[in-house]
Amino acid sequence: MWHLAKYQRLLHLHSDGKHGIMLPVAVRLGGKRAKKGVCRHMDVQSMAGAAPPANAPGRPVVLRTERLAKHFGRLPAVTNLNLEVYQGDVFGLLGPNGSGKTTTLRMVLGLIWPTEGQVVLFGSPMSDDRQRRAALQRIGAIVEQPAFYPYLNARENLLGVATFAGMPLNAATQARIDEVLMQVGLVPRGKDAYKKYSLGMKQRLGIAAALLTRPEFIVLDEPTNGLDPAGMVEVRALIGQLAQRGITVLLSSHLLHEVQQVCTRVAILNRGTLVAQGEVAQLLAAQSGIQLGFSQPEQLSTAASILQEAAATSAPWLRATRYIRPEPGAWMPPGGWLLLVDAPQERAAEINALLGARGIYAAEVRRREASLEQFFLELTSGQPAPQMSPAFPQMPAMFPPAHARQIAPQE
Amino acid sequence: MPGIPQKSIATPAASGGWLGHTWRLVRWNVRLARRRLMSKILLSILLAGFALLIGALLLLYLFISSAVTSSQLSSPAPTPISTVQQGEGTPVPITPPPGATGPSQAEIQQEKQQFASLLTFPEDFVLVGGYTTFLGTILICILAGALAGNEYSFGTQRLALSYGVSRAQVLAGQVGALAVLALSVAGGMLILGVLVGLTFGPLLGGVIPTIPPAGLLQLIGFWLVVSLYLFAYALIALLLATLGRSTVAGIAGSLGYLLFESIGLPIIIAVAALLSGFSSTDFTGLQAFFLGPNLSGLLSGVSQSPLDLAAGGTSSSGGTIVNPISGLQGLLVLLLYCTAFIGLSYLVLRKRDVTT
Repeated sequence: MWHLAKYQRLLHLHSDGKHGIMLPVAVRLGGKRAKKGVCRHMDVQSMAGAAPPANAPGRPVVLRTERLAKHFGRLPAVTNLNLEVYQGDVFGLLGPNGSGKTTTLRMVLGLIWPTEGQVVLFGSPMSDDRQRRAALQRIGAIVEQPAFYPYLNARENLLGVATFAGMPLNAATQARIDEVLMQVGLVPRGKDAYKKYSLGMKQRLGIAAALLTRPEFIVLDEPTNGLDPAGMVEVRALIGQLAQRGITVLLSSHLLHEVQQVCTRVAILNRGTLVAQGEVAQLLAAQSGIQLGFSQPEQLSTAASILQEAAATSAPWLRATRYIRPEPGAWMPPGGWLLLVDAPQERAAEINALLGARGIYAAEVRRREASLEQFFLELTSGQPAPQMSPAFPQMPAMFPPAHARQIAPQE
Repeated sequence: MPGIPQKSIATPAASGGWLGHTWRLVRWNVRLARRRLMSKILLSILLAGFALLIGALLLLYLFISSAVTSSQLSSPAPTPISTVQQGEGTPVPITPPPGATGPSQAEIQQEKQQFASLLTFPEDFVLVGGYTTFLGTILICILAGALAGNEYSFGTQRLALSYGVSRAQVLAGQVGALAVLALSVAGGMLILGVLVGLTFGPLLGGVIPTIPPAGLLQLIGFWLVVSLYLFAYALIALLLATLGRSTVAGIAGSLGYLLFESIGLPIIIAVAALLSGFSSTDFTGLQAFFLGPNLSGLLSGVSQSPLDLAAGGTSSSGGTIVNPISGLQGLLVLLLYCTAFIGLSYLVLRKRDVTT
């Protein structure tokens, strides 16, 4: 039998698994193929209860979305979204344009109403007015771009935020305003009207507003938008400092390198659907392995079959295979797909020997260290990459056109 | 960014209940209105217009006074204006009949007194009230449309909602701020009226009556009604700005309605009367369904108070203001309209996604 441990862990089937990861299509060599399109985040149902799910990292859940959906007319913007953000997480919400990130954040903040499902913040459902108000007063947020009164200066705008948050307008609040302005480096321009600010300064003021109430949970939608590289580094450092203080951060960003550096957990949305959720390290580990490239496209499926057979008999350390697209600019076989083998990396030579014994020779064998960017692109790019050769007639039949093609060899 | 200091100031905890928080939002909205350049321009227009009106009245008064003076100087007796040759005899002067060349001294004097009373406290309240309900209404519609519409265009409503302000509080904050602004504008203008009346009235020969405590209450009632007048139209602007999610919708819509009531409605009634063969007075009942005529009815009711006070607390003999719609009816219809405007705005806001 093929060893299932790794994917079992990924699919939360591990009895003592601690960190949830959801993948769109599970591939387990020697096991049952998971049904495509079904959310495989284990204990999804149990999340609705008050008790933390079995796979929870032992921290309270700050934000939970339960079967959340939003339709704009007939257009589904978000569908059946089950997210969980734990206390202390720096949680990255990723997805291409139009994937439903901002719609999700808007629903989390009560700006728009879900069509189905619900948002639970600090254990309170957002559908209740009073509880929503109480929960939102514990949150700092920037959604889309920062929004302030253009004719007011930074201090006055922050005074407005303090008013919205229900803070008393006294000397202590003024002192706190000064403090956050200092934190974001806006003190010298504190008396200038907001309309005179550059995009980066507006973003800084947005961050200052998010920090003003010393929230327990901060929602940042593209916080580095408009910032120069130094500003981006500062924001990253700031997020790190917030995390050190135990503040939970929900971050939406396109800058995947940044997300990889600061986030502990991520969720990836595509076309309004959650396609992956889990710890960054584990997600990336799942994408690492031994990468095989073949000069003949037919060899790809043959190699997969050989490895499947071997996994069942002589090579139990072989855990899974899947077809992957090469990274942009990297070498690729004529069909444009590579075979990623989930196996200990020191077994690369043995894999090559297994294939060679059956007359299949890989043109390339190498260790693959996945990046979040590559993982993201694999999950979210719906169309084949431009560099893919059309000369691989079997491929469309073998691989459905959706993204994140993971396949299991014939069982 | 320097980052989070190790020892930072304790954040003041959120304080106050729903009402306390809403009152802070009202104050915040008033502050926003005060800080706008547009508000300053609108206030300047209102004050400049008032100054022009007073100036024009003073000039008219002076003109009439000079007419009276010249007529007094030239005529202890009627002046012959021509002679007629009667045959061979001497010319005989012909005296013009009284009133043939213009108003009599008594009429001019009366007109002069009327101008003086217009600028004398408390009768000048009627003038100030009329001016405020005309120009003030237009200006407060512009301000209200901008106050509500800009929350969408700036995206600041999103900011408020994301910090736990409920939609009801957003609306209550705006409605409360408009009420404060209406009271302030009406109050400010009436205070100006008091100053003008106390300054120019005695100078022009007017007599300022002693106002009894009950009279003060009447004047306060007048102030409240003028404020209500402004507030009702401001609510139209608020509703339309909320519906249209824009400043333009609020301003254009409310001013359009104002124009319709002032010009369109009388024209429609006249045309309807013409086509149906009835008298236009038969259609007066139609007006009772609209906001403006009811407000005018209410205002007419309270406008009697300053006139009565000027007449020494009794019902004044002259200048009685008559309106087919009674003050009570006007008040009831006004309250109904205000409730409808606020209720509709809330329904729109409650159901709506804030995506801008």
